[in-house]
Amino acid sequence: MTQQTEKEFINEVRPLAEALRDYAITDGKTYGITDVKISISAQDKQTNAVEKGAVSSVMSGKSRIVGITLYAGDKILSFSKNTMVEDDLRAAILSNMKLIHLAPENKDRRLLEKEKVYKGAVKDLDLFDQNPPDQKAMLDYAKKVEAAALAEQGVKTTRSVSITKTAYYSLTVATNGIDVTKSSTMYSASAAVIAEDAKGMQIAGEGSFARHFSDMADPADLGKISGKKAVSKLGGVQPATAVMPIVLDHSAASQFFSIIYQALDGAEIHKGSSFFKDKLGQAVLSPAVTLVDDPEVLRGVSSSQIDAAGLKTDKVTFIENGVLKCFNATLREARLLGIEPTGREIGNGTTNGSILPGTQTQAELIADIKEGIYIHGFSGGSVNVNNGTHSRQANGVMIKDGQITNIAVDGFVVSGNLKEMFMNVSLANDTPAHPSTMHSLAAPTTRINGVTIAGR
Amino acid sequence: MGFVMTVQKLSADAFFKNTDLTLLSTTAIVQAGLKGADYGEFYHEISESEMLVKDKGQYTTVSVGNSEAGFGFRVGQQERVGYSYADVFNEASLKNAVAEARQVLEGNSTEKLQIFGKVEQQLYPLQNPMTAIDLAGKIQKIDAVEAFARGLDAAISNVTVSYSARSNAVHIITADGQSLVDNRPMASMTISIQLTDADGKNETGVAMIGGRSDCTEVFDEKTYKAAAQKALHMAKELMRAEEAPAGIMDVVLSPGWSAVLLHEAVGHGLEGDFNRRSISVYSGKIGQQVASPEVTVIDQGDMAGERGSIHFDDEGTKPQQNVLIENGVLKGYMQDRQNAFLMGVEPTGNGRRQSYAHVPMPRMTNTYFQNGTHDPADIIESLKDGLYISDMGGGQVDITSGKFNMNARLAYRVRDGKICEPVKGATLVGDGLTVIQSITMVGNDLSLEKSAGSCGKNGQGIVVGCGQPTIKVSNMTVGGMQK
Repeated sequence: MTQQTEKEFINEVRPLAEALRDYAITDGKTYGITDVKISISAQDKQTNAVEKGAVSSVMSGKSRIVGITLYAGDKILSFSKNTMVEDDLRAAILSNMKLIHLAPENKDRRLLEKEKVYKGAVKDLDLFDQNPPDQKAMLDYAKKVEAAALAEQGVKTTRSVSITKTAYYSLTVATNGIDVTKSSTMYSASAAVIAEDAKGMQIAGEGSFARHFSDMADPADLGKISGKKAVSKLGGVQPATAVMPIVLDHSAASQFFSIIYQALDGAEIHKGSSFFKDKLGQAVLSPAVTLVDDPEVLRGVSSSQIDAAGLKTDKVTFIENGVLKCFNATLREARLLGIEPTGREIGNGTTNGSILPGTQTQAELIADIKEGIYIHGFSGGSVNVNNGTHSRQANGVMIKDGQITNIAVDGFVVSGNLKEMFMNVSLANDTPAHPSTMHSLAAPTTRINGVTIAGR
Repeated sequence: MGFVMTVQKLSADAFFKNTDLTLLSTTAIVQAGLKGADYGEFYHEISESEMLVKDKGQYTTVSVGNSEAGFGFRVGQQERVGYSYADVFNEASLKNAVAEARQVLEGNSTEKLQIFGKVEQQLYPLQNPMTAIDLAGKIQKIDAVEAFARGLDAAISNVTVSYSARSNAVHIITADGQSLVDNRPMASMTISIQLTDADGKNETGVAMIGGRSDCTEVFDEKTYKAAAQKALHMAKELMRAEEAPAGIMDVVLSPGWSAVLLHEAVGHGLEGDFNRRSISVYSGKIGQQVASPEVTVIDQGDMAGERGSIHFDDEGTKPQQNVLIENGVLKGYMQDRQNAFLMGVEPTGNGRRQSYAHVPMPRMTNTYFQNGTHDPADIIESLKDGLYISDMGGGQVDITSGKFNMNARLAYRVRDGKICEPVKGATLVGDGLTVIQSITMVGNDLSLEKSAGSCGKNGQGIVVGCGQPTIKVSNMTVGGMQK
């Protein structure tokens, strides 16, 4: 398949988007239509998977979707259809226009005021790979990942090894002046590897994500890391229930600190269901923690220029030296809370996040731990930002006398209250840099003291 | 299940509006495209959906008349699968998809005869589940649900009512030229009630209604009132709940939704793809005693009115009752056509997919523990010091090691056979094999959950049902925060 350029996409869909907008606003007068927003997006995807050195599946496809929101004063109706047939879309707009008088009023969801729609320049963040690899190059990549994983001592087989290329395109036009086009590519490769010993099998894996194929992790490294992770889980024992310090590796730290985003999210604050709700300007984490969310990382996996509301996405420091500096609010949430929106009505509401590095090396951070656990990852369980409960299953290896051992531990739960856990963190100086990190929130090796390990 | 409906015949006409293709020409292209393949099919769907959400007294989502349509063509030879999908359905795009997918074929196939089912009993209504009540009527009903819930208690600080419905029309053409049409309804409502006390402490209780049914069912006054009461009760119990204890203890699981633990801890490990590749903890164990003799586990896609029921699976195979574990002995796995073909067994009607943009794989339908002999009251009474799980949350499993974790939204301490104070924040961890070997009592009160349950596997989400009677498991690891 040849890859469409942003220009080709826009040339194809702009006339349709504008025709629908004009139809709704002109013919909609009878039904009280005051504003309309049309968004057309497309995605073009190809996945190649390998098994035993050969191709196991090739999947490809294209899908497009037209999202339409109609406004009659404060009455709002929205719908989406995945057809590009103008007559069908006009018919759908007409039937919704006839229904809009029934829609309840919602002031907070009005379009952004005309004068606030961002019209300035945006940086070219190089998010679109102009030179995509052919299918053979992608298959070769996956084969190399698999071969490197299988070469690790103790690896039995793979559950899946695949690489996916997706090209995204979108155009949004609205009667408040929004006119935004976007395009990007995303490559994602992952390996799930199975290791086996006399006691049984263990699975683990790793992934790599990048806007450009050339930024992807070296396939041999990816395979090797995946294989090593699976092997390291072999012979895992359940630790005894105890209170001890834990140390989170980069993956686990990224998972843990992502909770901050949830706690400062405008929706939770508005609902009153976050313990951050009345903590603006106060210390909510250890003074060691600063969380910066940077949308302008070149080739960044979570980079953004303008959000769905029409606002520019700027860099925000949400937590500075442990102090909560601002909430993350969409336009609607900002109106409800009476604060400024953060321009992050995008994907999952955040961009390239980083917990800034601490001052100690990883070895220094661990040195005085007599007995603790080095956590490789959390899975499942529950995290509640309302009452602060944290109860998640984890796996990792024991730390003894200041050293990370190869004694695998699993089947235990890390329990604690976030209000205390957040205050008890200390950080190493090894935060990975965007865009090469594998996590959209990059975090350093992190130690948390006084955590309950529920196990044997 | 004594519920039988007359079989209604659906036509494939709806799939051939606005296209240059007919059923005849499509079938010809599909059959030619499946030449030389071991398995494969054409899958076409048209989904319509709507959603209304009222939160804090305001409608935050009013979205009606959504639709999504597309087709996918799959061709498989041995382990290799080629799949291509598109949202535009015409001769050019179908031929293109066939050509793209066929790139994986090499040489000739083994030409095995494939078996397909016919719909004999109708399991759910086939009409669009959204049309019985108009938008004005639905808004009026949601307002009524919210007002009723709000009025239940002065300490209620927020009520969220979220209604959604979906009609999923599916058309499958198989290699033998058979054309199968289904229309799968889904209508659900979630009621969340938040309580706040004088100190600002708050908790939220949740209840869900609906399932593979019509929207009239979720807007039924008796049904939503009971659900609101249930959500409030949960919030109240959570308000007075203490942190759950940590350690190893005996646990009693309440009937119904607790079976999500079975789904995670056992069900996934019995899916054919993992076992064909010998990467499940259950691989190679057919005929062996894997569980306590009290345990019989069944997956059954042809139960009338149940959440995970389907008239045929997403490859055109008729679902059936599959006994997976019988009196503790492992009997079989759940299969799609690819894995059944490769393992030399019959497909079991478990080939399911999220949408036209996805390939089918072995998935669960309605998975449940069969009734045992014990009175549920006797089971609780037998618990000297442990935990009664009243409302399970969700969880996940690692099918290779069998290790799972589940969080319990609400549980109770049990002492000397008596249910005592509520506890929150409990996480249950363990491995599936150990759990089913540690089941010491199975109740006679089997119930299936109709309103909750969606399952994710390899990035594909589908709707599933699960159920169980009251069950006692000894020595489970509970992660809680009680000091």
